[in-house]
Amino acid sequence: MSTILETDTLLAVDVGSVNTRATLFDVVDGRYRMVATGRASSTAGSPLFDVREGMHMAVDELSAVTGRPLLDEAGSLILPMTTEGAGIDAFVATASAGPRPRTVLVGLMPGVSMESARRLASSTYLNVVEEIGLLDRRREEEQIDILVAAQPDLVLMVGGTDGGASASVLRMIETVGLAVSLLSTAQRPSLVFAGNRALGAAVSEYFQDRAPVTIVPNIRPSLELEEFEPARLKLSEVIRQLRAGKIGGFEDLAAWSGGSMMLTADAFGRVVRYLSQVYDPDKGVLGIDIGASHVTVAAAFDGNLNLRVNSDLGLGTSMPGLMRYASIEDISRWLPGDETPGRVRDYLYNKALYPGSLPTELGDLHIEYALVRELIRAGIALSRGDWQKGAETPLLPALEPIIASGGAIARAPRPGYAALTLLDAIQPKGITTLVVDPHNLIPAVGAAAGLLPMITVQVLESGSFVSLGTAVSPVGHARQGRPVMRVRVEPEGGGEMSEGVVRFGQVVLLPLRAGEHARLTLRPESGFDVGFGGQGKAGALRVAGGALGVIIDARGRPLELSNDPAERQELNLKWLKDVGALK
Amino acid sequence: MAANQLPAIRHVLPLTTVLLERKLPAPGTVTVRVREKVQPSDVVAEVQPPAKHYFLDLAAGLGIAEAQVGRYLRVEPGVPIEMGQVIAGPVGIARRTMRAPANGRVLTLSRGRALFEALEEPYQIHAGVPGVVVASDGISALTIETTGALVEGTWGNGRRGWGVMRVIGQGPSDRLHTTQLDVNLRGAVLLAGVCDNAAPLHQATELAVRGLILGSITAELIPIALRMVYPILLTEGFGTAPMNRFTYDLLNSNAGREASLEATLREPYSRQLPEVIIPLPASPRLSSPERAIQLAPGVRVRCMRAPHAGTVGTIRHLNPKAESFPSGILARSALVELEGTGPVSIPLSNLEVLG
Repeated sequence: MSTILETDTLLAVDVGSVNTRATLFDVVDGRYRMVATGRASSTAGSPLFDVREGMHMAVDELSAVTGRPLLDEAGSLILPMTTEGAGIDAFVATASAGPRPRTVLVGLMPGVSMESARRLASSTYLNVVEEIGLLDRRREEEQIDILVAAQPDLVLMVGGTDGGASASVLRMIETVGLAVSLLSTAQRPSLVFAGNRALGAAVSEYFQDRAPVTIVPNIRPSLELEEFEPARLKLSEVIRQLRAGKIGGFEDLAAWSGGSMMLTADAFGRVVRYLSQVYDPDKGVLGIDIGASHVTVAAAFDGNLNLRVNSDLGLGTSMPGLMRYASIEDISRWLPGDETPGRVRDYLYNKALYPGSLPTELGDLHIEYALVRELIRAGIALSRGDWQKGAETPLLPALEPIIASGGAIARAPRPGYAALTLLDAIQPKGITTLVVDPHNLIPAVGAAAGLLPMITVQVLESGSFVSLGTAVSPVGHARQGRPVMRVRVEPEGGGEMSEGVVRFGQVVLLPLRAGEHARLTLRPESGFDVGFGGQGKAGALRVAGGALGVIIDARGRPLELSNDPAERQELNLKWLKDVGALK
Repeated sequence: MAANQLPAIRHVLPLTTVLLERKLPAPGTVTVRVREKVQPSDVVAEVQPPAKHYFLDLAAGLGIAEAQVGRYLRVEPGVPIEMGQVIAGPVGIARRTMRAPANGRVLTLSRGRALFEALEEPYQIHAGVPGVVVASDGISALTIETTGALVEGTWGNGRRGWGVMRVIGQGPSDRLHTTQLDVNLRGAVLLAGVCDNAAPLHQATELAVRGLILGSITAELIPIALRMVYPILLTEGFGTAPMNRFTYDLLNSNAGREASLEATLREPYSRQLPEVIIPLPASPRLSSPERAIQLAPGVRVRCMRAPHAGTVGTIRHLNPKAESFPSGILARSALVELEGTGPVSIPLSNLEVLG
């Protein structure tokens, strides 16, 4: 396995359900930089069901762009790099593609271990089909039938604090054992025990001849403490193995990665958590990844990560799942023109049939990004109940930065389109920075961080991520057109100063180019709070520029859209134009 | 160029070898052998549905200690027994016994209790097409080979059916009406255009049709379509897009023949697509459909998205650079000679190969 000293060139591959991406990193002037990316169709699904072909196509494209051979004639990675400059020094792979293992959760107390099990399951790629708990009112034999009928790929067993309950845990284990013994060898699920650590050996021994069992660290070592990270990393390995049984090529990728292959969500969460330790500790970091099959929401507060993989949400095959959380009217409220509910509904379901297809007409684009807004809103709503901060208030806690990734964000026709989508969907308050990941580097950087700890910060600082700008969103409400605040932007180094009054209902862009900094002075009217300690409190801070400069979103928080369809559509159109999303 | 795009492939073939997989939901028994000829109505595999299990507390019922239960057991674990048959006992002067509550078997003993499995009627799978069994694992899956026309669809309601195919309506864009559905269509598989209201779907149920092949239905009809007892297969998707001409003409040319509808409800990472198979005799051995075809000049494609959704054409050339579309989206594209429209640039992501 490569070490930090030996490693210069790193290839990262991420296998999604629609795309496979390959990214080459190299050391330039002593720091890691993204050199190039290659993208190809994912071949995890029909017709090949083998991730290697997609990986080869993406790496071939990378080779064509860089002129550097990366694969040998047999299609294997050239590892390590040759003296002629072919190949790479290190390889990391991440994957979100693949069927989600059908999972039965088995635990003790509904509000304790079962709740923790649910949270663990929702933080990764599992499809929970059944739950069995200690207070389950069904008879034991019914529980056995349920376990058998569920045809699980995985049974996740939890319960008991370390040194705590043992008899009830072992009774529950026996129920699982009886159910497993009724299944044929080919049908037997993988078993994971994440409960009372003292029972690990007994559980292993009990299942010895029945089914493979993986003992992972207790997710609830005490009543007050919940620990997911160690268990999740081991659980990820079980998920990868289950997927490898159904889709070819994962074992090759894992072998090239030195035996470890991360799940995309884990790598994504790792980056968000790291950033929360680097940025303002009083604010959280929010990461959102909108994939075809999943919407992943990672929120971290001073190193504490909350990760949620919403597998029933996604801009592709999981699209119909949105209907559980949003109505057609909810989606249509973001449109700048009139569309029938039937057309919006047809669009949504067709997107599930053709997840990789692109909107080429303007009307379709607006529907697609209205769906993205509601996907983000649903993803955050499902996630934020578990956040360490701000779970109890309707507005989100202060966030810095907000990072968005995924195909829809990457291919937004203009930066303004991406920015307005994020502002509408997330409705941040106060001052934050909107960052997008157009090359889908976060999984690569997260996976590589285990091998090269310095790569995260070096790539982040290299400009490979695109800052849309500093967004200022005052909290408060007023009548349309009433002054909200006075703003002054003084660029460092003597650029042209801009100053003016922003009125309620406006979205205003103040120019400040990427790489430039400025002193931003905000003087809110009474009744508006921008995060300087209360309503009407003025202040100044140093801000960085971006693709759109400084974005003042004076539409109020929470954002209230007009009930009159014509007025609402007119305003949606105006805001799109104001942020330069439309020509 | 475009070597990194492996497009979806949709098979619409007038004559090919079709391999049809039949799979039980759980391991059971494949009731036919490899090289055996089968007819559509033949049972090819069966399985006991998930059984119900009961704990019979033998120790309590017989009034004995847990450790003594093995001594009084009268049945072999795993051996089928009939309802009322003595499982354990007699014990004591009262000659207490425990009897089977249903047809089933005792599986194991645990803490003085017998885990009893009650058996139900088996779940059966039919061949669905005439053909020859070419592979079987003996317990859950088999493959039937047949020859004929193959049309893969985009969506199905999860049902399966077989019957003579009849054409209704004036063409692929014609809306399905209740007035088109009369008693003469009873028991037939129907080929029609598009459907945007529920009434014809319900009327088709009353006529006991064996299946419905459509270009599109509006998405609001999905819950209704899922409730129908007959198979519904869509070739295009949701909305009112007409069935593509290539597919319609192929199906129309086979009107009057028997058709098998596999209206599979697609799941992510499922290998089974919704499909129509029209068995046809073929003397020489035909090749199977291609698994993958790269986008290249001369390849026939179907456009999946507006403004040309459902239109079929042929790739003239692949554009070397990404192109901007009216939405502002930048994408790699191909110039496609669309039937009835002419040359149009279409993103590669919006094309699927008609193989």
